[in-house]
Amino acid sequence: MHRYPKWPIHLALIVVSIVMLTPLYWVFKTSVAGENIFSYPPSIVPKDPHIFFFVDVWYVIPFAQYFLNSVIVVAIVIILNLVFNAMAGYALTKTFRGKGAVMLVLLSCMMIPFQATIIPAYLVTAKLGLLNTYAGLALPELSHIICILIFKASFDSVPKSLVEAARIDGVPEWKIVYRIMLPLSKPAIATNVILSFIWSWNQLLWPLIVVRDVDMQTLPLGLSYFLSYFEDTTGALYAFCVMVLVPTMAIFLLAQREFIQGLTSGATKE
Amino acid sequence: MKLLRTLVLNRFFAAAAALAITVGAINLYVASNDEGILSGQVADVQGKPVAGAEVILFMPALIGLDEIDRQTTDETGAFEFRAHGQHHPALQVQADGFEDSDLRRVRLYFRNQNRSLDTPIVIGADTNEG
Repeated sequence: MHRYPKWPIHLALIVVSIVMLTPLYWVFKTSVAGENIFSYPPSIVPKDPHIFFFVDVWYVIPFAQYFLNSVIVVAIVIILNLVFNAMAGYALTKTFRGKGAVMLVLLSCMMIPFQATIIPAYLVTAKLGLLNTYAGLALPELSHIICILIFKASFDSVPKSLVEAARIDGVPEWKIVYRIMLPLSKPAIATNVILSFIWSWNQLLWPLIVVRDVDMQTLPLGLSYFLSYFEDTTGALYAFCVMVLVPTMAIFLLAQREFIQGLTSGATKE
Repeated sequence: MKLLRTLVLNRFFAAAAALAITVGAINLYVASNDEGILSGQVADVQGKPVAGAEVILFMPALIGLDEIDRQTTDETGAFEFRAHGQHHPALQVQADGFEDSDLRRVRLYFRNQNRSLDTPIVIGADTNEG
């Protein structure tokens, strides 16, 4: 059998990695050097790096308040996502009349962008009296169809015999999910946590519409208003971007193993 | 003991603990160095201290700078501001018979950080010298 050399593949992957990581490096570099993005020639290595732009961001805007708002909203989103998506995923493992139609509706809804549903979402939130509240900010993010399907795929891989044995012992359905399904689906839980964290942490459009008070703003919304405060804000702006990015990257780096397992669980049949 | 070992080796717990310890240490340092003491010295172009010079402390505003305090240097040319409440103040010196100094921006790591300027603020040539 002819063995192909591996170095072209590695070379191609290195080039792609450099291309993908260059914008991220540029953001970090500008956050510590403050070089204007339009300056020519651009410097690869930061000149006189310092962390004072991060200090500026901390004090110029109420970063701690925005951070706390984002954390509270994300916590609500993650917890309720786990509850709702796990329940929905477990229901989809059952065989019931109309299951095909339900799956079709769910898959079809995945193709509708959030922006197309923003008016009814706003009207519902307003009617519920949840405008300018943490619950209102979290409401559209409480369940994601992709995460439901991830849980479904993970629950499908749990041996049916375990579930049957639990039913014979008289275990209620919610306890089957809580005591049997979820402990065996830790990759799916990690994937759900990471995806719901990333999507809700970076959400801009919904907080822009729902939030009325400056104190209720989340980090991405604060960043968009920060742009309008000062003219020459390149270093501080990029420092703000880094401060918004770091929690997402930290969560992903900590849980990447479970995340990848969760995405690939159910991909192969045993 | 086993539980403790399991917790310490858990990367989520280790990351959270490291973050908590770092934040705690930073807060302790800040709490012990936040009297807002900003001190320095004023000298002329020859390096001689200038007594009786007026040092103006500015804070950044939406447009330009706003003055927040003034101090007069003593016989050694030294000045000291306290509790300025800023993280990015600026200093300028004015003295009779001298050209005004350039604006010296001071970068601090946190608001009211105690800081002593490394180099004196230099005011311009003596306008009385022929």
